[in-house]
Amino acid sequence: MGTVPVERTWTAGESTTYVMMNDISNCLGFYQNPPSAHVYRTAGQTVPYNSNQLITWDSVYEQNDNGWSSTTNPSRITINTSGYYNVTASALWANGTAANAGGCAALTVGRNQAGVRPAYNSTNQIATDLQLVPGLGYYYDRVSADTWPYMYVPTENHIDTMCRFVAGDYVEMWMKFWKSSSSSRIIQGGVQAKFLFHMAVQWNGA
Amino acid sequence: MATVPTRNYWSPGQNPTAAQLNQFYRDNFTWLRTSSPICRLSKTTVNISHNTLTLCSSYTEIDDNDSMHDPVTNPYRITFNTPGVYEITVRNVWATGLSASATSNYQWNVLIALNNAGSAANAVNNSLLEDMRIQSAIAASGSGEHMSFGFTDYLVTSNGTDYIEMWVAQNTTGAAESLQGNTSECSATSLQARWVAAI
Repeated sequence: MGTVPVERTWTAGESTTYVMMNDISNCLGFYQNPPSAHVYRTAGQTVPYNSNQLITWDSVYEQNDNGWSSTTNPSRITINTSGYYNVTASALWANGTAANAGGCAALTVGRNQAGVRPAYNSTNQIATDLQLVPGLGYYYDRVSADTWPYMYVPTENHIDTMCRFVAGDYVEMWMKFWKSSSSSRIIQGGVQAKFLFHMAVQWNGA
Repeated sequence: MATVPTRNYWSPGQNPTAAQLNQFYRDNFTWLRTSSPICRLSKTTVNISHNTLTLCSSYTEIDDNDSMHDPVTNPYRITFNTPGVYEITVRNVWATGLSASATSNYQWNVLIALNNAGSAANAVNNSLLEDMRIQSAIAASGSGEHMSFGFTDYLVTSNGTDYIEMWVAQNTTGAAESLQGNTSECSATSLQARWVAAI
């Protein structure tokens, strides 16, 4: 488990030693490089129609708190230092999911689910991003009270949120699409996947 | 209002005292670790009327270390009492959502307004951000999926006098719909603000 360095309190008359100065350096080092992990997938990911596909990461961009292993549960980032974290994730659909016929694509990040996507409105659902192409239909404008036709073609899902974790928690990501057709869809891998097809966490407070 | 700790630049020959070391090092690290302002509010579950922009109140305080929320006076606000850059995190969870049997086109909105004094008429013009989720019947059909989960994350700079409000709207079945809360954590509908940098 990671440890957040606790700052020293000096007492009057105390002589400054190298140990004390190293305490300062330890604190500075922690805040310059707080616990984090950023994993991604270079290989494209096939997502079967209308099913929740757990994403298994094959590469790490950076990590400094032993959050990810390529061999043991590579779908997970494990939180080893308790605290508040920023969580980001993204996925770019390679072949225009839901582009023409109307449909939805979803990215979900959850905690401690052992590979099973968290139930809707459950405490382990950290965030779900749903992108929609209606294909047909209208939406209500709450300013003008008018209705307008059509939205248009999202091909990327992403989230950016803040969450509180305790050491031992872990996060996973699932992708799903439906209705554009009954065939599978592919999430883009490749060189840029470290940003386009990724999941990352960073500590930002105890 | 919290005070961002100051730093010191030492002079040749100066021997730092314990008080100075505590002030300029310990207190700064304490600030970074635990003392910087944070307010995390979880919404209690409430029904929201159809096509009505509604101001959210009735929050449970999960964290609040800078008196940013008052459950009695203007309980719908988070106030930035300390100047700085704040990260705002918003979640909306609607109870019913849609299912595979949906036959209509539905919509959910969440809007964060700045210094808006609880005014529905001005909320849109005073909005910092808005997230809108749409579900059409054609997209819902066969999915068994819910579209009614909205969230967003945003940075805002404040001089220490600003406040935010959360507004929501729904255009679903024509009836009121339940906006879901959780009184123990910000896992459902919630509004969070955290100081991340000085200005």
